[in-house]
Amino acid sequence: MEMIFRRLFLGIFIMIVASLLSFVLLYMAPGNPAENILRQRTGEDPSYEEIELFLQQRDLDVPLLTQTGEWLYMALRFDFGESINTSEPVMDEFFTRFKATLQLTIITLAFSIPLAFFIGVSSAAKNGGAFDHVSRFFTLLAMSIPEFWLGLMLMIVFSKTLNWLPSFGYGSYLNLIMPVATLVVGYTATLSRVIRSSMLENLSQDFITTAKGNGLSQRVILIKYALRNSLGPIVTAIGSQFGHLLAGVVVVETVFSWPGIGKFLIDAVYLRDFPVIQGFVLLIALMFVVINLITDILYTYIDPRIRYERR
Amino acid sequence: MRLIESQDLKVHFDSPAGRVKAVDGVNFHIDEGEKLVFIGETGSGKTVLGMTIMKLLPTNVFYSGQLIYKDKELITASEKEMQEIRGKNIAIIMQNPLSSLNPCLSIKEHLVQVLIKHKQMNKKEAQAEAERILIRTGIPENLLNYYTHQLSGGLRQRAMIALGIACDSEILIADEPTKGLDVTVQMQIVNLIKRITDETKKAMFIITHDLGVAAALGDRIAIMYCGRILEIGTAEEVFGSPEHPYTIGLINAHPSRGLHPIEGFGASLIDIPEGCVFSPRCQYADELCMRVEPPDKVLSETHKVRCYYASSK
Repeated sequence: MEMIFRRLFLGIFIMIVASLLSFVLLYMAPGNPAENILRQRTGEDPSYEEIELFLQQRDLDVPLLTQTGEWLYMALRFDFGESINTSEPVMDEFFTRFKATLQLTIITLAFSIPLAFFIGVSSAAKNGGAFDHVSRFFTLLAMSIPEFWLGLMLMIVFSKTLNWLPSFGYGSYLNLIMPVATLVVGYTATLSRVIRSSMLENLSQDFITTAKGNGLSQRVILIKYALRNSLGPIVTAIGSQFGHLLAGVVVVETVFSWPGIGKFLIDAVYLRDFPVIQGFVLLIALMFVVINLITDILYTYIDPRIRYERR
Repeated sequence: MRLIESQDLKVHFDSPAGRVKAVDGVNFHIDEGEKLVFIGETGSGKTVLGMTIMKLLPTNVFYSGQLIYKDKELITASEKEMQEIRGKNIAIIMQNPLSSLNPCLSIKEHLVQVLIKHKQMNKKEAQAEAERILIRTGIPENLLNYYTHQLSGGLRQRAMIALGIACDSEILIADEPTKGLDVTVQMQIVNLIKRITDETKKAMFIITHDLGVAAALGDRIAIMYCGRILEIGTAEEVFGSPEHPYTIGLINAHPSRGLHPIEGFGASLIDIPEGCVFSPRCQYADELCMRVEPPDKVLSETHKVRCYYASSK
C-alpha cells in the first residue's frame, strides 16, 4: 500500500516535470503558432500585424511564465484549453482521437500477446530445435522490418493488386486489418523474444533440475516453473508495449491515415499548436504513469521476493 | 533385496577442454534399507554419480556400463520412463536448497505438485498431505506457506528433505545435505534424516565430504577419487581399519585427528593420472603404482580396496 502511494506521488511529479519541460522546449524551438497556422491557412507569409492580432486574440502575447502558470492551474482542473488552430477544446479532441488509438492498441495486443506466448514458449521448450531456429529467424526479421515499409507493402498487395482491403480510412473493421497486421508483426516478434530468453534463463536454474528430479512432467515444468517465474520481465515488456501503442504509433497512423493520437500530435507539432501538444504530452505521461503503476503492482503478485521486500 | 547395482559404470562429458571422465568405471550396489555414503573431494565425480541414478545430467553426457534399478536398466531408460521413477521410486535431496527450490512457489506448493503427480491426489488431499510431511520434518506450522527466501538455511534444508520423502520412494539420494549449514544445524539435519529414513527403512545414497556425516548416517562407505571408488566397505571397516592411503589421508585430515591435509591437489577428470590415480599424491607409491592401475583387492565380503599394498602396510 505504502508503495502504491509513493509511486503515485512520484507519478504526479513526473507528469508536472514532463509538461513543464515540453512547455519550455516548445517556446525555445524556432517558429511560432501564429506564423505557422496563418501560413497554412492563407498559403503566404503573414504580415507582422496579422501575427500580432492572432496572438492577441488567443492571449498568447502575455509573458511565458504567466502562460505556464495559467496553463498548469487550468490543467489541474483537467481543462487544457483550446486548440489554437481549430478552437476545439483539447480534451474533446484528445478523447475522439484516443478512441481510434485505443482500438488499434487493444486489437493489436489481443493478437500479439497470445501469439508471442505461443512462439516464445514453444521455442524455449525445445531450445535449439527446428521450431526455435525458424522462429528466431523470423522474429529477428520481423523486428528489423520498418513499419512504414511493411505498411506500404501490405497496401500494394492487398489494396492495389488484389483490391481486397481499403488502403486507408477509419470506421469499418476492414480498415483495421492492415494497420493491426503491421503492428502485430513487430510487437509479436519483440515480445516473443523476451518470453523466450526469460524462459531460457529460468530453465537453466537449479530448481528446474529439482522439478525434473521430482518426476514432474515437461508441461508442468514449462508452465508452472519456467513460465511462471518468467512473468516479471514479460509483464514489464507488455506494459511498455501497451504504453507505446497508447501514445500513438505515428508511423502506422500516418501510413494508413488512421485518426489516432500519434498522427494528431505530429500535426500539432508542425503547427506549434501549444495547447494541443501540452495537453497530449500530459495525458500521455499520465497513461505511462498509470501503466507503470499497474505493472509494478502486478510484479509484486508475480514475484514473492519483491512482495515481502517492500513491506 | 537389491535395489541398485552398477557394473563398470562410466559417465563422460564432452567439454571444450576435452573429455571429462567424471565417473570412470564404478561398481557398487545398494540393498533395501541400506545407507551407502560416497565420500570425496570436490570434483571427484560423486555428484555426477548421484545425478546419473536420476538421469538428470545435461545432454552432452555419454553413459556406458550398467546401472540397474531392481530389474530395470536405467542407462537406456527413456525420459518418459524416468519421469515415472523420479520422485516416486528414487527421490533426491538436491544441493543448495536456496537455488534448488523455486523462488516463486511456497514450500508447501512444491510438495503439492509432486504429490499430485505421483500419488494421484487431488489438490485438497495433496495440500493436507504436504502439510503433514512438512510438519514431520520439523517445519513450524505457521511457515508452511513461506517462500524459500523467507526461511533460514536449516528450514530450507528441511523443506528439501520433505520434498525428498514426499512420495515414500524406496531410495533417497542426498547430495551434500549439510552443506553450508551451522554445525549445530548440521547435527539436527543429520538426526532428522536418520530418524525419518530409519522409520521407513528407506535406502539411501548419500553424497558428502564430511566424515562426521558419513559416520553418523552410513551403513557402508565408498571413498571416491577421480571418478573411481578407491575403497568401499562397511562403516567399521572403512573408518576402523582404512586400507587405502587416500582414505587414511582423509581421516587424518579431519580436525579431530589434528588436521593433516593430504599433499597436492585433486586429480583432473580430463587428464587422468597414469597408473593408480592417487599415485601422484601417495607417499607409498612406487614404480608399479605409477604405471599400472591396481585392480580391486578384496579384503572381505564387503571390503574392497584399489591398492596394491592394501593390508600389507
